[in-house]
Amino acid sequence: MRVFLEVASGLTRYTQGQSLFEVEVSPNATVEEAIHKAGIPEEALGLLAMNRQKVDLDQTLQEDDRVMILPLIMGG
Amino acid sequence: MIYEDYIKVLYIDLNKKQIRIEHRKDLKAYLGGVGVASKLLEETIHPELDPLDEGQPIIFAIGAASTVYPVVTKTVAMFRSPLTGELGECYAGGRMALTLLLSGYDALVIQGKSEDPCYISIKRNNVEFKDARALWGMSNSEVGRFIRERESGGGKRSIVRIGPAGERLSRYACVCVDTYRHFGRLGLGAVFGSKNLKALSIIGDRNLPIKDFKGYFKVYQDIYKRVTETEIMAKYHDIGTPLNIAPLNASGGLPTKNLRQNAFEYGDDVSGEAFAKTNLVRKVACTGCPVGCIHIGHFRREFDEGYEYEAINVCYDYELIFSLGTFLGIKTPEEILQIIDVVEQMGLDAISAGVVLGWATEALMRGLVTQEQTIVPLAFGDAKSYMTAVEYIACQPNDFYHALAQGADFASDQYGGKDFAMTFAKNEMPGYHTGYGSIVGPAVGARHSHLCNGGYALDQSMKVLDKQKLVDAIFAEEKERCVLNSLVICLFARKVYDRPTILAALNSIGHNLTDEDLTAIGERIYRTKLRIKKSLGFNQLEVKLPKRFFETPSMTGELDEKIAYELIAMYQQKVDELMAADESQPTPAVSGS
Repeated sequence: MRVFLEVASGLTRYTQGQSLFEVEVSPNATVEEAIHKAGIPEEALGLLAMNRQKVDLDQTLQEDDRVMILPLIMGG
Repeated sequence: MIYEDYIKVLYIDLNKKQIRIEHRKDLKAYLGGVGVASKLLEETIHPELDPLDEGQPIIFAIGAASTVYPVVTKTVAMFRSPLTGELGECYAGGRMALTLLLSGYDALVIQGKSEDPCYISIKRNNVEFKDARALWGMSNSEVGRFIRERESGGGKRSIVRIGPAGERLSRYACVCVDTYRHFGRLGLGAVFGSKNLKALSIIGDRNLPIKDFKGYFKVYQDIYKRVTETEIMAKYHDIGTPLNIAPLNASGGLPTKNLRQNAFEYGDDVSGEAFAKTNLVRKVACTGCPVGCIHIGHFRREFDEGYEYEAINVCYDYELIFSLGTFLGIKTPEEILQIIDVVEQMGLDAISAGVVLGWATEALMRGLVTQEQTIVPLAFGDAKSYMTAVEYIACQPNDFYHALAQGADFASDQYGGKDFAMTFAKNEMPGYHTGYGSIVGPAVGARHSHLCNGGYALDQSMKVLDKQKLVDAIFAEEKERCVLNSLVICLFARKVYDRPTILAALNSIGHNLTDEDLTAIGERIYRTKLRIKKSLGFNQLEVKLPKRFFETPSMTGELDEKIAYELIAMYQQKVDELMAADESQPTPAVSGS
């Protein structure tokens, strides 16, 4: 099935400069599988979000889901 | 004072225009910074008096390694907060820490009230009380310019001052330090105003040789390398904390329109990246910091008809974009910078000002107050009305704005709307609606700030809520930050300054501390703060949280009010255990040199 990944500007070095792209994953795949297929190393990941909510790597995906890979929240 | 066995305290009496200096060996048990300031506050505070009574003290302190190592750049201020009525504690960078160090003082205690407006000029061998009647009414930038032109020592001088809001005792007036830094939260500016104290000018011009330079330089180089080469510190320099707008907006943790929403439909337009592309003109650093995280944004202001413009530069960061931007529904960086500039000139705390205006806007929408009272038609997205309202908060032209100048909690006592007056124990909320950590952290924090224990950060690292783990982590971080703030580091570098680094840093400049010593010092400082809070009548279990926190989903989903109160009670149990141990222990021994 097809899902979309949207990555923050700091991570596009792992995605050939693309900030929004499709990834083909198996049915019932997790966020982790999609990110692995996209070639983004786990240690580079920050916050993951879908539909205005934080998600984790084991979140199950559905066709056309859009996962945002964002920098970690930072501050004092 | 490094290499000395005492803390040098300058006591300033504004009533008598006199000073005295004490060399306090006993205060070394508190290391420096927030430890020393807490103890001095405990000694001089008057729980029976109003926070703005002239009898209340203002304490400033630098730390055990101030400006001797990279990013150890802050000065702490402690006082009785006029906003919350309890512990007042805030931090500022700029040049103040270096000038205090090189003027020879570890701490200042300012007491009494000047008969007329004054400012104090502090030099290595001289303290002068100067007439500031002509400065009264001046904005932050005007008074800074005035003192710069009249005091010597440019480059080795720090100018610390208040604007009109402090003079008029707005209970969240701030104190501006060297133009771009602030003692922002909890109303120190009003305490200055209550003492007729417009400003401090501090000149530090002595030399302070390092004894074991080889050992010191090795530690310095290691820290410098980690500060300048790690990715997290690079982020603070590149886009800075406004980088937070994008992840918080995407994940539903960005307080918007008085937290009626957890995301902003114009979030992309006011993101850190948007500010960087359209308005960022400069980055500057506090003295002693190689990072340079202070982002300066530029806008053009028309000051007269006929195409007459001036270029205005103001600093911005995440909290300001949240409080004066998303929280008020402001859609463009240009407008946010314009509101920041008015807040800056009036001398208000930006977070409180924005959150108070968020409450006022909703109060008007719901008919709790009228436009006759608000004078301007406050509405989310209306930057012009907010700019005027900020001036009214400072100048208080009617009862409504007088109430707003006391804070959102006070205003909602007067007019209703407590459920959407977004405060933690009377202190206006910071820009995180991320989960239980973002609520419990500031609710239990000693000064009710997100910086007390960084509770919000736990919401992104904790996969599933583990109540005990969350409470334990907040408690541990609250105590650890007492150690960090006794140095006084900038908390942006807290991951660089782990325990081995702190010990290496301190022990190479004459201390002889162990890991256990630091733990004991951290607990000693926290207990001191808790004793002060208790003496001021604070009861953690009486703190009420606005219902809005539980109506608007957070980054980690909907939050249950009962669970939040349960977590707060669990935290209080840990505090009770700590304080019970306090009562059974003898007076602390002096640690280190």
